[in-house]
Amino acid sequence: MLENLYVVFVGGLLILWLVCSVILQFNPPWFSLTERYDLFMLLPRWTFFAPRPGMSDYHLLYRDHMEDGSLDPWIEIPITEERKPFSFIWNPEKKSKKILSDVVAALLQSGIRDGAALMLSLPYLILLNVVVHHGEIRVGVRRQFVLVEKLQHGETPAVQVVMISGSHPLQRSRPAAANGVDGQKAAGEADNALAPARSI
Amino acid sequence: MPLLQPEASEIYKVILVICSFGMIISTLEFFYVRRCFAAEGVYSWAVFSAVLLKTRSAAVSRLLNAVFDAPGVMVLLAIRVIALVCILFVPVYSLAFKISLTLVILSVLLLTWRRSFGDDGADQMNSIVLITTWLCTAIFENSLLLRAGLWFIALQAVLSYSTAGIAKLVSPTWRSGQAISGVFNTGTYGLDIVAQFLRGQPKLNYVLCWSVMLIESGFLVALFLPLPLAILFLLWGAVFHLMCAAIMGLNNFFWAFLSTYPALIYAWLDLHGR
Repeated sequence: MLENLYVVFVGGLLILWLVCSVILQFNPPWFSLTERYDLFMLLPRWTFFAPRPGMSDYHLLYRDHMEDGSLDPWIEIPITEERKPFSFIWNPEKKSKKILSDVVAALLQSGIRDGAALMLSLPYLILLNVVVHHGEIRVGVRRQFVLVEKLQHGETPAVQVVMISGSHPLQRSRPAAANGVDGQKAAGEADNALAPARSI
Repeated sequence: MPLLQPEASEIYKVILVICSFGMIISTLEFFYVRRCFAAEGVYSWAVFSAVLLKTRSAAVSRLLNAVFDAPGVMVLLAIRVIALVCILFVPVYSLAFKISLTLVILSVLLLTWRRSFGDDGADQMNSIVLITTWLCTAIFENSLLLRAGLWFIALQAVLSYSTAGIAKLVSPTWRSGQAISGVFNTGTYGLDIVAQFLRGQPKLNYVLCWSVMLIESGFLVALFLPLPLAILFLLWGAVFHLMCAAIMGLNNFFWAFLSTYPALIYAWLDLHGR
């Protein structure tokens, strides 16, 4: 009896899972609510590289604002892995790089480009954490980052800025949570810094 | 229509062996880049917990910090790789298999939630395969359950290929033959040598794009075709995933999607009364 009940339960669950999977491929607006509750990403999206194939590269750059008001040159943080001959079997760098391209995609999909909503979002905080820990960290300096899209297809690549951050203070030898990655503080500071910092 | 009762559990074994092999590689890759779970890394718990953690309880926070900060993640990954190795060697209905599979699934779910970003289609297919296997083998030994699970895995595989193909068919970029060279021209998913080769080959690009679109979409009917044609689809799929691994660095897709092929073969045989 219990076994039969279990068989019916599993059968129903698999049918429901399959139906939801099918519906999700059509991406109906009302179904997007499930994304919020699909914490374990069990509802698959199988639309790989379609209908819009990703033909752009995104670049993450940062620069420091010195105390005397001068600006350092932009420095790029690579967010794609260098392919090696054996990458078809063993490709660990993809693990640390893919998240950055996913985070960039999430930021762009959100459509939010400035303000507190942006600076309190997980994608922004992830990028900020990476940026403030990269390279030389000098006390008293403020760091700003920018996301640039480069469309590779064609003879002349097209480049455009998709998002520019506010400038965040750097502090030496502090945990990440205090090293510029404080959402509330960042929101306040960046609101003041964002407007003049928009021009590169 | 006869049920393949004794063979169905062995099919799950083959599925899990292929899936586990790929996941062992993937888990070891995480160990290799473990620095990204450190405070300054892309998966810093200090950052993720600021958004994901919604508890005011100090005790719960301490527990979650212990599980999801860098050392805890390494423990979860170690448990996963040991359990995956165990799955390779033990029979499907054994206690060791059930415990190992349960531990793998728990580690996958916990780390999926913990990471929030970075998972891809291969990870999703692995989750589907693992959870379906658990549902159909961990509690009762029942031929209907086995059959339902194999059909579910097969249909998810059919859905994945056909969705990918149809989504490309509706894309002007794909239909014009520009998509593959455009994607291979990127640093994220491309390879210089391949991009350079394809740059001056519009007809080849066109043929490549249309062959991918048509064969992927064709998976929708692959189960109804005669056996030689159905096998051709699977061979194409294996070569396709190998090329994606070599050119695009998507090494985990090869194992994740090939692990569904035994289920596809089972579904074909079941459908055709063999």
